[in-house]
Amino acid sequence: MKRRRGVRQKSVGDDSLRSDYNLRSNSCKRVKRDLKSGDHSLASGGNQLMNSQNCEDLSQRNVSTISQTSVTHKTTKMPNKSYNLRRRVTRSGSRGGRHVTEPLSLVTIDDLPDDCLLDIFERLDTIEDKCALQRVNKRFYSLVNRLLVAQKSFTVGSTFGPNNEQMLTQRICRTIISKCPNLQTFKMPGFYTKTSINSFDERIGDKEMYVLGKKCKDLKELDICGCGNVTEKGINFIAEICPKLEKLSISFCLQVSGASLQKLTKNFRTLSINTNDMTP
Amino acid sequence: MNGEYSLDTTEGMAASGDPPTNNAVDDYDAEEALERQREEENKIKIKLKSFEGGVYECGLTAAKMSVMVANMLDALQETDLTKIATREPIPLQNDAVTNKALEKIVEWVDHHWDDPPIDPDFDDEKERRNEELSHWDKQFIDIADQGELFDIIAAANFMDIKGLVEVGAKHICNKIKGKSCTEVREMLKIHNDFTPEEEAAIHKENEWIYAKD
Repeated sequence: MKRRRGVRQKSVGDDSLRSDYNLRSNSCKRVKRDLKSGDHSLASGGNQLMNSQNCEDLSQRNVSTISQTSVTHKTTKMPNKSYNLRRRVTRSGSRGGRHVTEPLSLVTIDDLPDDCLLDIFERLDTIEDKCALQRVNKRFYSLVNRLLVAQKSFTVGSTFGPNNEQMLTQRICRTIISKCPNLQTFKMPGFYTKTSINSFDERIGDKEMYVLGKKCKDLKELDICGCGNVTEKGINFIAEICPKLEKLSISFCLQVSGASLQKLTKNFRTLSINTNDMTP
Repeated sequence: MNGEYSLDTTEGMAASGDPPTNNAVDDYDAEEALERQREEENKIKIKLKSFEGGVYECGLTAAKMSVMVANMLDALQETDLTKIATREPIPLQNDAVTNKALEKIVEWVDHHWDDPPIDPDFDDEKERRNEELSHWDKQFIDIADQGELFDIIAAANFMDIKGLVEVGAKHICNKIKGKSCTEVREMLKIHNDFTPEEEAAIHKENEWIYAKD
């Protein structure tokens, strides 16, 4: 019974597969065009040509085989056609047999779809790398921005571990706060193993707490172990202005006294404060 | 199709007179049967056709690592798997799937086809993210020609092969790490399309990075 059904459906399956192919290829083309025609795509054909010529110069191979005809061919076609045709033109050239041995590589990272790039950028965990990427070009800027705005947690600064040497200064802290307004978890243990930022003024203080409280209202978890400049004022401000705050780690915050902690515990039911010792 | 088949085998084993054992053993048996089935299936070769027209052979289980190809094969509703091998090659209609890219992709899936599937309940997403690439993957993805590299990643993305996209992403990420924007631009051959005013504005936004030096 089962087998018979399978046989009957085979012929139907054939057709459906073929239509599936067509559907897929069409939709994929459409998606690609949509992706490429966004505002971040290179606007003018002139740019593209320049870009591709740069690539040609840089690649340092096949230079002699670059046919002038293909380049001029491109200039005439470029301006009124969509972005991804650039690839199409080079490919057809290679398929036509003009550069059979090695087609000229004009594919750059810009040819990757957005979700691929986001996948790559997500893996960079320092704010420095992300900021550097933002400055590369417009598309990168908007993509990285999208990531930062969506970012829910951030960890900077150094604990006692020797491998974690990201430095935490007021500037880094403020940049993170200004770029990621939707933070829910912010860990910035401020122990300094490096001597390079020993100046006391560079460290996180009450001012950063004010900025943080005003910007990131959704904060649930805050870790400011070892940030010796933070006083009760800053802590109280954060506790008051962030209603969702559940977890607060203030070990080694030497200027926070027991009396202020008592005040905090009155305000919150689920606030866990992780003070190991040393608080007077 | 897959599930039906494995169900049949377990039913057959139960019907052959085995006394009912505890669940753990059953699970183990089922797992082993599935593994054997995967291995069997991988001996069946199917053909994939690149955008440029090149045809490459690939094991069935390996090809199914691509969610897109797996869906296409499901659409066939073929019960006799060996017949799939005699079919005409499956066309991959995206201009990123060049001959070279497809060749590399087939190489990758042929090496990784027996990887354990990712279990969302047990595998920590974050841990997997930070995991270093294996030696084989590193050698595989270390490609001098950037166009080829991006073709492979775009093609893997099109064919929906998660593992390979991840390998590529990790590789590029490692290259970008710790570089300044001009270095990134040079390395990836990206054209700077900011106007001077825009650039100055962003520079101001990120001033602290340069103040450090």
